Amino acid sequence: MALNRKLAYIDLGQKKTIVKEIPYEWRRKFLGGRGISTYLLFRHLPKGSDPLGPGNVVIISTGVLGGTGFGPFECTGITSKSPLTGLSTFSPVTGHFAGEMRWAGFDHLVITGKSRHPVYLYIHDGKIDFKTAKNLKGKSISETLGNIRKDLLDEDVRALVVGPAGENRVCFADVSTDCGHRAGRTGMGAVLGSKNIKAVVCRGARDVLVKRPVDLLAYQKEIFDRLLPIIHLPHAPSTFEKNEVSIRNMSVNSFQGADLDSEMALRHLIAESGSDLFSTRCILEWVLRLFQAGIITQKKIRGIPLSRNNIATHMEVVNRITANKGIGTILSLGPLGASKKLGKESLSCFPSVIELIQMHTEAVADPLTPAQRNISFPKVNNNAHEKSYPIKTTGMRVTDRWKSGSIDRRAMGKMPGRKASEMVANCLGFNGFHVPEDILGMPLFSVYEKLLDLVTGLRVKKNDLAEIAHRCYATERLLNLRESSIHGRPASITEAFDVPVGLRMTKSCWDGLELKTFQRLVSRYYKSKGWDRKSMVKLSFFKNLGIEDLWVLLK
Amino acid sequence: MGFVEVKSRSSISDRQLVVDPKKCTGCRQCEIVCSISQCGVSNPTKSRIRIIHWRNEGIFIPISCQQCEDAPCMTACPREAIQRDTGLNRVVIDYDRCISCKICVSACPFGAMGFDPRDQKIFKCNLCDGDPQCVRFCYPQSINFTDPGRLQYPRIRNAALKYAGFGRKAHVVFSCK
Repeated sequence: MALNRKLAYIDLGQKKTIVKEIPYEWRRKFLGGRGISTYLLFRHLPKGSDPLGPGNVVIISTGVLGGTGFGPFECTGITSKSPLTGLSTFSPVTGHFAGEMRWAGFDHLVITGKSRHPVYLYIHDGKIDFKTAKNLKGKSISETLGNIRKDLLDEDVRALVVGPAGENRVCFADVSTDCGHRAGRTGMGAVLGSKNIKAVVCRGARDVLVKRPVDLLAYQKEIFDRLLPIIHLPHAPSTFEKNEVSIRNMSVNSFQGADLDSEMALRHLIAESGSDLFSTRCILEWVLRLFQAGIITQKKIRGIPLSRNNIATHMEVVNRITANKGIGTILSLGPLGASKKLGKESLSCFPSVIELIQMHTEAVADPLTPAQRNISFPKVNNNAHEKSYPIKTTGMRVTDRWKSGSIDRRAMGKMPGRKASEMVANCLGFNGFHVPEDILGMPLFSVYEKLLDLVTGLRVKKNDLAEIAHRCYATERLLNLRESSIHGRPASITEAFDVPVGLRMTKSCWDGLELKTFQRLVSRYYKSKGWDRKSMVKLSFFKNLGIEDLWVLLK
Repeated sequence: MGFVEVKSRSSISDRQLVVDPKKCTGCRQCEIVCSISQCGVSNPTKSRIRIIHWRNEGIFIPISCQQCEDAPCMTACPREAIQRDTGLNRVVIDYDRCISCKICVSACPFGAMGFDPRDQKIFKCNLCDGDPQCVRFCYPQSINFTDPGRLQYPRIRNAALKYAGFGRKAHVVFSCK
């Protein structure tokens, strides 16, 4: 049976693994991928555990459609408690790892504890080996990959690799695949690094069963024929042609007059160190501004002659962040963490509020639609991406063109349609499947329904899919509510910026009226949708969703 | 005077799998699609076409059965289970005769013969009976199913284009002088 798949519990402390079958009940409630991962995280994450401590749990997952030929859309998900936000997070990474993990025999890996020495996990044909990674300590992404391939005498292994930044617990360290795809935001590299995991390597030759292969190939062909003309055209070449690639640490949006060699060298250094490129460059620009504003003194940066045009000095800052030394110890905490040490006023120098929000929000399922986010974060000076975020003050209007089709909107529990469809896509093992429905010829939920039937033989109706999306989202939100109550943190990033730090930070770019409007909107929005603490933390709510077993864990 | 019958279109038997490694992006869609269409499961180790890569150098080469004229697998087979199908110009396995001795796997210089441990059967590319799925799903058009007569044509044309460019430049230079 196509759904007869396995999950492995990996205890790093005792170097033991337990392999179990994924119960059908979980499939019915959460499908797979992000859904089951969130459920597992809720079950296994000790309440209030430190994101970088041994108590945190990392779940590497693939969806039910992983490895069945959806190429650019397939993703592996890394679910854990983020060191940046302190909340549950799902960080997707595209590439071939998802398929290889399924061919190696597993759909989910639940990693707990902490290894005494650096290790890498070698997963092959239903087995999990702990291999020593002492010789890989401090090695860059490509060096690590090369050494692992030499060690295993196999050029075709697929891997998730942590760079030196992850080893040194830089809060925005990423996880890179062997193809260079990255689970960028939310600091999953730091979480894996804190567990002394240098890499997770897969190689498999097991079958992934397909229920109706001939029909699946015919339908895949139809989907690709419809999608590829629109996917291929607007990407890589045009971003360069339109000068949409930000340089000089996101402050300039054009290549004109830039020293491309040093730019590329800086990018290469960041990528090889295993830091998120986007976050690191924002922080570099922030450091420059803090230096200009006198918040960071020459003494603090210990002899680096910081200058905007001298890329070598930028590289030195990156090296210190990666090594978590000197000024790097503060910066590696991420902007919000660093601002606690540098002073609240330092955030006003951050290059862009939108970038700041994105650094802290990417994977957190936030019920606000992009249009509503735009209300809260209007344009900021020197914002490189100003063009792509038009200012809208349209209140609660939902602007994404999502058609509910024949879906009962009540099944989604008032989730925005796009969020629900994203959630189902993540459960199926897709990422970035934001396809206009008129191009696919049918609503997205109908496509998901059909694909599920063709690959697994599971006949899930559209309303059930919507219900699954709501259940998964609610589980994530409940976990966040639980964790936020421990740390006194806000349970959502939009709430995070309601606190006085946010007020101070955004005063320069907001007028008072807009801020008040936004705050009112956020609280009204959560209340009206029933996603506030009062509405959610009730036994009846858990029972309605069929997750009453989690009630004990919440309390 | 008799009329000479002229074939306006080539028959399907004239066509062969032709690979252009320069266009291959290493997406491995062909491997997955091949295993699904041939075995009903997704498993690249059972694919009849494999992508061999040197990822750091950006080199990806699809390798599959070349349907050799003087096929070593055919010569090596002790039971004469491997034969040439002239209809589709391919080398096929007669499973009624095959004893799965795997000598053909050793004999093939391309490593294009495989062995399925689950079914205990030898497998090789059968050109999907004239409609290769790898070609259908190869969007970069690295794998093509074309006439042998047109094999070199794109490269000849490329070479000619360079020559034509040189000729045009030379013409401009000389005419200016």
